[in-house]
Amino acid sequence: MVIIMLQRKEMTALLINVISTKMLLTFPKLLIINSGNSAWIQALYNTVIVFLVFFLTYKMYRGNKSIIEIAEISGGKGLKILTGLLIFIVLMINSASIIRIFPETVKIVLLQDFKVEFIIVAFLIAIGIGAYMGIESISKINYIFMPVAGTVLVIFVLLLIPYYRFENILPLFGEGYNSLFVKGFNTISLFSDLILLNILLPHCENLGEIKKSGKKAICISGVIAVVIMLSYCLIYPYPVSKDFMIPVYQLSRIIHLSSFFSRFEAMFQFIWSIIMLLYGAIYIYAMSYTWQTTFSLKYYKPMIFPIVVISGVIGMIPGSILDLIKYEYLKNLIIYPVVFLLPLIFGIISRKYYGELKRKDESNEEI
Amino acid sequence: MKKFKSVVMTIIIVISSFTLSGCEGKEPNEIAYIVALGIDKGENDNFDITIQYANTTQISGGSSEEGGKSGSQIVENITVEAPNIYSAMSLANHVLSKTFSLSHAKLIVFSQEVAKAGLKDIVETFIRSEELRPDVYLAVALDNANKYLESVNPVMDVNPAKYYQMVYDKNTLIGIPDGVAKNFFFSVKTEDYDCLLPVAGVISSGSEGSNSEGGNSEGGNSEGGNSEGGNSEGGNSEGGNSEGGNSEGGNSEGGNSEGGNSEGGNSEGGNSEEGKNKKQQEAPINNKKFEYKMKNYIGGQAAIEQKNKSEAMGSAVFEDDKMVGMLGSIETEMFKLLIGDYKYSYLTLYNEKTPESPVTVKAIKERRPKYRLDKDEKKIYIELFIEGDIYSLPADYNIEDNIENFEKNSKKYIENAGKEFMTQFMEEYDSDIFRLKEKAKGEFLTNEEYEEYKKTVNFREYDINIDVNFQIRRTGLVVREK
Repeated sequence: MVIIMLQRKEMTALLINVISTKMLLTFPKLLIINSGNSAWIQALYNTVIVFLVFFLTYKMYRGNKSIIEIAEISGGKGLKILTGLLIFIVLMINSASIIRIFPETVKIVLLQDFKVEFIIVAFLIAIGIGAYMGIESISKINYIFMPVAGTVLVIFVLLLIPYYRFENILPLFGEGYNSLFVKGFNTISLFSDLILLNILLPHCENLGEIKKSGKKAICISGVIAVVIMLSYCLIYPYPVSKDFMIPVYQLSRIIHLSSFFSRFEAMFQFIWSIIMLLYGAIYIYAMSYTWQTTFSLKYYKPMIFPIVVISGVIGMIPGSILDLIKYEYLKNLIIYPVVFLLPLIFGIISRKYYGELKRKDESNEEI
Repeated sequence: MKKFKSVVMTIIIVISSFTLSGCEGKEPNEIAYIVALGIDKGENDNFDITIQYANTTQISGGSSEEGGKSGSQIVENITVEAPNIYSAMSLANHVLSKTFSLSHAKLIVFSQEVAKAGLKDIVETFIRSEELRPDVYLAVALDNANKYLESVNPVMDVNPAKYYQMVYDKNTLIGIPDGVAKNFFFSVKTEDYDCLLPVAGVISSGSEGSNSEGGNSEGGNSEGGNSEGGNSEGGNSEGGNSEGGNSEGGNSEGGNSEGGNSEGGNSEGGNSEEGKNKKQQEAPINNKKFEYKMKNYIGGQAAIEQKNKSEAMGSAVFEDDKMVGMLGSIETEMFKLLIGDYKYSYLTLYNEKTPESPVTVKAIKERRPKYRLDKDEKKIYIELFIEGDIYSLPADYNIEDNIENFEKNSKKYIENAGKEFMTQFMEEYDSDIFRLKEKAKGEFLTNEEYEEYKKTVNFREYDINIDVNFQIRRTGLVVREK
């Protein structure tokens, strides 16, 4: 099995994409529902927590083996399959909601006359083709595209400045300290896609590269999340802000520069679609790769079609947008303990394993 | 295998280019673009909804190769009875060959009756709709919405959407408030503040035989604008020569009443003069020192004669989602000065050295007003920052000689007019158009504490202090020696 190595900047861009994509969909709504007009503080709080958890996890970690490989080393094939399946399920749950929400929102804002099933199928085909092209192609295209998306985001935020009303983010602690700092802990699931870093670990040169990529990605994604939430909270007063399904789209609709520039959402939809396609392709690839590693398969490509079909089927389970938002809320509660605890546990195991390995080497040298 | 892949890829690309390219749904020439909607109270608890759509064949770039027409030819109106906008569109779609689209709608006008009953349900439709823009303008028609839309006859514009945008987007001219739908929705939903909406009126000229139509009595002043509600003393349809003229309280007891100097619209002779807007004569003249000798107009009163009979001026006051009164153009101007929602405006100020001829100053907003609320002492401190350029004054008067005095007096006039307007407005209405509750938000740390405060606060008990920083910066192209 030939492992393609990714550059650090490509891995960073990949992580920024997968984390920030959620901010373009319904995730900001969850933050607002929880802490009201102080949702931006919650995003900041979540970023700090995740940064600390990541720092702790990778302080423990040794070597550049993925969780699944460490599971095999420490507990044999049984633990490997169990861990692999658990990660596969987590990835599936995480991506299935996006695979459904994106076509639904496209139908609402763009293609009202299309059947959502058609949009889902077109989206699945596109991300399937993306995954088939492989991680190198995805990461390179993603790396080229992220600066474009970043520039649009900066222009977007600048154009929103005239609409900011400072009163909208007051009172500063919104729905209260308990909502913000206790219940608000749940939304660290914003960064749940960091699990991909563990799965794609063998694609990186060494652990140092991974640490740098992860830290940079958390910081940049955190800034993106805080800026988006702050802009939204500054423009839409609470409780109006909790009503809208796709806050970033709602922000893009508000831009109106005299009589010569409006309908910024057209630009937003272009960026949004490409980011979503890249996100989907990364996830399909990661799931196929997880399956390949779990069952020690030679190729990952034959797994793409069944995984795309299963993702589509799971994505279609929620009957309506209302069910989908409930599902999204539940998903966040279920996923984040697994996503953050699993790397920490296997980080400790890898430390033990590499410690023993190091000791063995040293004793061999002495002999 | 490689050849097979290339063949498959080619087939996919060819099929995609045929099936996925081009517009989905309707072609642009199959769509009728709605530019404005008028909502009047109908029968059976329904609304009479007037759909005004662009007559694309008459607009520049349409079928006309000569470059588009103007006036009423560029729009068409259809009125249907329906419970809401979308059912009205659905009905109207059966009348017209093209399909209606709201994506270019710029204005939604409500009749006073509808506005007084409450707009919450209607505005909810706007916000939910992905077609309607959040920056669509809302207005209240002095007469009825249908009449206003029928009277629209844009002489200078070939694009009707542009016409509405230019009329309602004038934050340089401060006679009408900001009527953007999203702000109205925010105010209704948050209950942190209340809104004003522009008043859309129709000019009734003598030459059009307005007497037979009812002229003043039919046209808003007696039916809607004046007699209902505010103008208890007035409401005299024959001339509107009451104290307070034509406002619903706003004028009569508000800005213009100082010294009983709102002379009201004296209609003597007005009806008989052909070509004159009778309502114009009914508007009370302001003898206060702020906007001295100006008339306090509401929609339909300002223009004496013009082809386009529609006009937007003054504001409708809302408490929550219900209209409760009306303000004239001078009061609206004062309101906008107080909340800082303007770029510049021409202020006509009294000058004690030339009492017969006022001085006109271009007042430019230097920066946003500062508000400070003292909850314990129950005081509101407002600081306005205005700079002025002298534009008009009597020819033989050397203002440069008295510039400091003029500045001092003007500052006093604006402060007094502002305080008087705020006090009287707050006495009369429970509407928080000055966003005072919102200004107190910074005093609290959580929404719970703020909500508690909102329930108990009564701004009528508060003492208002306005401090105007007014400085003349320029005197036009002339600087006379002292």
